[in-house]
Amino acid sequence: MNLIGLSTGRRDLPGAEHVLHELVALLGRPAVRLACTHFVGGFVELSLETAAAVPLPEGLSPGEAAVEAHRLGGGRAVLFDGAEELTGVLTVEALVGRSAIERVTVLAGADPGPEARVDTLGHLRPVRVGGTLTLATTPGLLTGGGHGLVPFELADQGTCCGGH
Amino acid sequence: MGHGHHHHHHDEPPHDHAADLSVKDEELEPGELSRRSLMRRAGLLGAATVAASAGAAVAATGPAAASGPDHGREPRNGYLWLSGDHHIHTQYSGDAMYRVIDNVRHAAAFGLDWMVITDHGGPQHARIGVEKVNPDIVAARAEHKDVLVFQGLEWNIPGAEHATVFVHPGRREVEVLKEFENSYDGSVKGSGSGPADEALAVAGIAFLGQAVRNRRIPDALFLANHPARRGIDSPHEIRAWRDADPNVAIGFEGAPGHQAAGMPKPLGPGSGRGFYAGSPSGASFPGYPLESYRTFGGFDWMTATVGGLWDSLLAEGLPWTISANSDSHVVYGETATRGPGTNFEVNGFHDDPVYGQPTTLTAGDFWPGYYSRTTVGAEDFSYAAVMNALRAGRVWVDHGHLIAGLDVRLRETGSRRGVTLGGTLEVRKGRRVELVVEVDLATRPNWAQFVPKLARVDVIQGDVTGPAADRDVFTTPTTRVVKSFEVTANAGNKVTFVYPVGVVDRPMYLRVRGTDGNHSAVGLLGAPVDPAGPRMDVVGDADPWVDLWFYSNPVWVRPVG
Repeated sequence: MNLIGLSTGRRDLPGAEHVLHELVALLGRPAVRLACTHFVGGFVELSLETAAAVPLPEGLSPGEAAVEAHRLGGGRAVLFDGAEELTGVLTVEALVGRSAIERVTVLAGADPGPEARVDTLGHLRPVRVGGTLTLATTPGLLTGGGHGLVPFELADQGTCCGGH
Repeated sequence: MGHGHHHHHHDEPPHDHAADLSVKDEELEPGELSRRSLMRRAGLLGAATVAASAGAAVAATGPAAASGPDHGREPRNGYLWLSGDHHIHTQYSGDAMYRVIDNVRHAAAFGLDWMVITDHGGPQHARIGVEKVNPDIVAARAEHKDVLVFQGLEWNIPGAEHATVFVHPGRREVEVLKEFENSYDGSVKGSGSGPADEALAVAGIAFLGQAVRNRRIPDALFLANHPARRGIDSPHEIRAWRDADPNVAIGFEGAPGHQAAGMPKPLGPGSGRGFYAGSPSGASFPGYPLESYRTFGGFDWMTATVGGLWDSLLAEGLPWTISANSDSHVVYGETATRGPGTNFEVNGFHDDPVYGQPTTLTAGDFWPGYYSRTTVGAEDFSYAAVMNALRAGRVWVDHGHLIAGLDVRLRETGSRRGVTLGGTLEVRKGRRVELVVEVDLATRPNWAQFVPKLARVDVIQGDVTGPAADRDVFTTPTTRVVKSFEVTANAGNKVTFVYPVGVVDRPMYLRVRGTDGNHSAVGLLGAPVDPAGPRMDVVGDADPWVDLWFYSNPVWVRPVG
């Protein structure tokens, strides 16, 4: 496994993820096993696990702190093996079976059973907890009706109201 | 409660400057000067007094000393309990729309006695709004003598969240607010989230305290708003604000506004209750758990967690009050829109609202007084008394008008005296103590047209263990629910519960919480701490009317002799 780090100079997650996707496009998605953001000193840095050794494209700043944070088992995954397979409403069993996600948790509650349903809402950002790729969820409404689990991190966090 | 007892307010300065040597003798009122002379003769004025007034000796002074100049002077017939809201936006905020008078008229109709106008700090507001809103507020005061209307602002705390800052009315209220905003607002100053920003926040609070001591304004208060929403108010920052001037920085929102934000789509915003739907960013305090980004029974995680952050502050033996407010910007189901051609960027305010469809179902707010209330025990109906009551911690808060009144009293068993919320009972070692909780139950419908039914009252108790060694600690080990009282169906208009605290051999505090009993869950620190606490609110499915809670501030007890 090869690990590269990148300093984005960005403080915001969307901005850093934009840089991440540009980098993955340069390297080619198949070459990237895992791409994570890390909060380092108020900035959002990136780490990428790649299948083979790749040089950091010219003009980009290496991110040693992100590499170190990754080695310590941290990171918020933007891309991971199987991420593209996870759409719509899935069982916990399917989520774990089809992707690199190893564990699903529920905030303020016990871990869900394999049959519990999770609505991906088109936005999954599992977090490495001690190196274990973990999707934190909360109870929520499923698309199409009924109750189940939804990701804790939401793409739409009500930014229209974020300034209130 | 409290209505019908109003008399005309007066602008009595709340601070007694006699003991404050930073105020020169010739600047004192005659009464203050004679008190200072008396204190000088008695040898009471010296370095220690000055240090205490500057906030440097906080830890040594304890809750009684820090809880305000009026501590212990309960009026013969009890306090006047006045309901209010310290977090309200108007057309002078870019993301809001109402006139000042719109908010005041609604607040008066929905039963509030006091309110604070808090438009967002920022370039336009600092240049235009902070001045232009004042005549609107002055006119509203004249039109609604039954409501105390404070001017404040919602401060972008450098390096952190927002806060209400407000001042006692007076000749220089605008001047001081404007100088404060231009010098210390994070948006005006373009702040980030580093140590320099944290220092600027502390300097801002100290500036307010100095403005009071210099007699530029009679009084000023700070309360942090929606403190856990984005995880960027770290525990050490909150402690630093408190210690910057404990007479100014007195608390935070126990419950945020925007309580309708969790109403389900398509007839509601479908967000998190309080618009708490976020997750950590680079500016967040990394120690906070993911649960802190959600509300629990409508309350902020810092307050809702028994043994959590709020309790860890109280365990230091220092007062820290909670509040519940509307954060009114645009109310849920609004049928008006901003005036056509409105241009906040240029004008610094929005044009007056006009009727206009479609009905806004994505707005998450309630009018002031409609749902959230901060009720304070004031000595009289005045601006000064409301500010003193907040500072003294004589405060309880509720949602949906769950209760009509609350009298919490800690006393020596068998005694009729005792102290109420915010007060400290000094008890001789070996004497037994009891907590008496008297609740006036709701007998009339709330603004959702039902009579709320209180199901349970919890007593929460914790040890006072002194200053926190770790300024970032957000738990305290001894605080837990010690007793729960069920409210029976045929309870009538009033219920009284007595909790025997027993012999007090160490300083402690007790606080009270109650619920309609519809939604409960084991607290985040486990069943032994809180077996049936508030449930984490479901994003997109949180009807605020069927999950009602009230919380009181603490009452303190200290063994002596």
